[in-house]
Amino acid sequence: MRIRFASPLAKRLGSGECTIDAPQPITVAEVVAILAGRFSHTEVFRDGTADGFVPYVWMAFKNGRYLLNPDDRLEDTDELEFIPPIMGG
Amino acid sequence: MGGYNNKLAYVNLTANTVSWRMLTREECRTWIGGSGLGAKLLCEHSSPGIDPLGPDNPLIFTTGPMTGSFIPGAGRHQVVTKSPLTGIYGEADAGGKWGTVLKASGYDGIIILGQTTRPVYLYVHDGIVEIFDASALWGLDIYDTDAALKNLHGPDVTVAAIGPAGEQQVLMATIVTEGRKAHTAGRGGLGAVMGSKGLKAIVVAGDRPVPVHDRQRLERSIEALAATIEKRTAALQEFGTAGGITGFERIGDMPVKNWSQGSWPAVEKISGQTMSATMKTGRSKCQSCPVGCRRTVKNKSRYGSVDGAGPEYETLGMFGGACLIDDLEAITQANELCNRYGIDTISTGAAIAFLMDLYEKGFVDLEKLHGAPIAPGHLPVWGNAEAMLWLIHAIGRREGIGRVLGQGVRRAAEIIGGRAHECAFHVKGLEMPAHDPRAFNSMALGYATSNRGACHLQGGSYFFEKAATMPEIGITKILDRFRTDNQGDIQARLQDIMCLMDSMKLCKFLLYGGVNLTVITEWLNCLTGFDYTVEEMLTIGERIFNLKRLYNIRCGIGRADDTLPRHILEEPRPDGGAAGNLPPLAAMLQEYYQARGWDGDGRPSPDTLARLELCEY
Repeated sequence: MRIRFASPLAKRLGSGECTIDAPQPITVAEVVAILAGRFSHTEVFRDGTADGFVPYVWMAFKNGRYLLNPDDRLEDTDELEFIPPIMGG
Repeated sequence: MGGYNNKLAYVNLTANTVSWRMLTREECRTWIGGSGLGAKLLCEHSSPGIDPLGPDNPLIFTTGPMTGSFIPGAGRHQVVTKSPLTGIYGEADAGGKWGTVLKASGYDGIIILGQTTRPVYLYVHDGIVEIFDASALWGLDIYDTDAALKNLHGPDVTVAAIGPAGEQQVLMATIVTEGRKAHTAGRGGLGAVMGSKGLKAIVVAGDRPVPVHDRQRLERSIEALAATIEKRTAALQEFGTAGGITGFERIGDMPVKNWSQGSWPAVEKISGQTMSATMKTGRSKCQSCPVGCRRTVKNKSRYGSVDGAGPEYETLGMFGGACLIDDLEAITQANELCNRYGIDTISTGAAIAFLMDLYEKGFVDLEKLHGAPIAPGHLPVWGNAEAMLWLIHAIGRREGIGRVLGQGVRRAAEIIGGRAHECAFHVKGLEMPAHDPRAFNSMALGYATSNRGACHLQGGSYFFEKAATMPEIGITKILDRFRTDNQGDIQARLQDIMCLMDSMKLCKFLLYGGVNLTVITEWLNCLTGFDYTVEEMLTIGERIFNLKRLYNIRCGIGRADDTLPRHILEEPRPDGGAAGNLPPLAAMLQEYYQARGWDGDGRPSPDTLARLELCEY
């Protein structure tokens, strides 16, 4: 599965995208757990699911359209993007 | 009873008199404070047919029971009046500490009646309200007014003031507290009402603590949630409201080119992250706030110098995205000018985007509108920062083309005529803030039914389609922002909850921190000693919302007004994260009226009025 990171997350991770190879379907929370290991040098995904998927560092965005919950399932054809949290307004 | 001084001050500027009355236990229990109490007082002291800028329009400043307490996010106050911009119910709120200090002075609120021909300001302290001559202050901008009044009354006083725009009765004028910190009651032109009364400022001072019914229980409840609030609002702490702008653009929520474009990659140039890297000097907090979402900035550029409040998301969205200006220094200067003149950055940005749109489409004769030729460098073309700043001066001073734009896009379109109305984005006369209803269907319903016109905070439904939950009304996970079913009941209940928060005066950003209605009810009970249930709280919120609706109905509002600009309903965003979506407003509205217990024209049914004990209104 291809995963993209919007700026400025990309800068913090040192990468604009990555791929993961995992059984499908997979939940957002499971993807985050994999990314926490992949990017263990940063705190970005470390405790993303520890408190019920609190989107305070990023939000999960599917196919350029849907904001996701932790238990939402993803298929291999889905494109997952992590975008900065949108709490303002 | 904790949470209250039980005292309201009345100032009649026509008669030059001051009086006060007790705030009764029943009023507190029924209307809570803030917005609810303000709406009740507005109905009590005026009729909807009044001229908003005439002597019969009361200008009401209220605090809530939580204002000034140690409850997180409770440093807010409310201003309620009939809006001169929309001609209907008007209210705005602000953070900072002015409300806290007003309450510490001994009053829960101040009701300003009448008008004076000579400028005055009020000094409220130790239970005393004094009226002073303000002739020497008239004409000063917000920062200089604040400084002058601190020079007169000491550095510890807190000032709410209008700037030159309020004095000139510009219909998008604001009431700004704490000078260059610029905590602003921004929407609806309430500063023009203050200016119409000849009231330049209200200075408050005091040190009376807020009484708390059960301090230990309240402290325990707050402590139990403190770490969660801290953690969940980390993004707001780090980058402020502006930190979300790249995300808002990505999901197709941000206004781009006066709502005509779907995406705008240049957004990164004006983001909170860029602000942090280039000009941020710190963050500032409202009274008792654990978050501190506001930025302080220092910047010197070819546009001028800024040393104070940085631009918020809404400001960046309207001057940036809506006008295609990707120059953060220019937008920071625009924010500074609006703060000094005392004009709303949302409505001002919307008016400038409107003019740029008109100019590109050939719908306006600029020279005729301005009364003189416009310099080539000031032509309102997309992305022209110099034009933006020049137009802000014109609006703030009510000069030339600014005389028209300062009346808001609805009136400006009427004055310009022709097809100008096609470029005017407002609901009930209030310019749309920087959130696109095509990116959140619920926002469409929220804008259409908000009692003050287009507003993202009166329903706040998009909080629950991004990051917040409210289990008490069935929201246990992030809702699908494009859903088309079950919109009516959720919108109604969320509007009721927002009425409660505006009445207690609790910051809505606490919702991101995990605060829900059960927590709010517990805090209010601990503070006041009342024994509200969650169900009773929802009914109170519903009563407050319906009272405002009744006021608007008497102003002539009906179903035909519960709508959105045609472009938003019929033209999808061409690209970006909300491409192709159009909110199904008609169906949602029908569902909403049913959920509210209103008839087909949006009037509360007799049964609804009886259930909410609103028959006397």
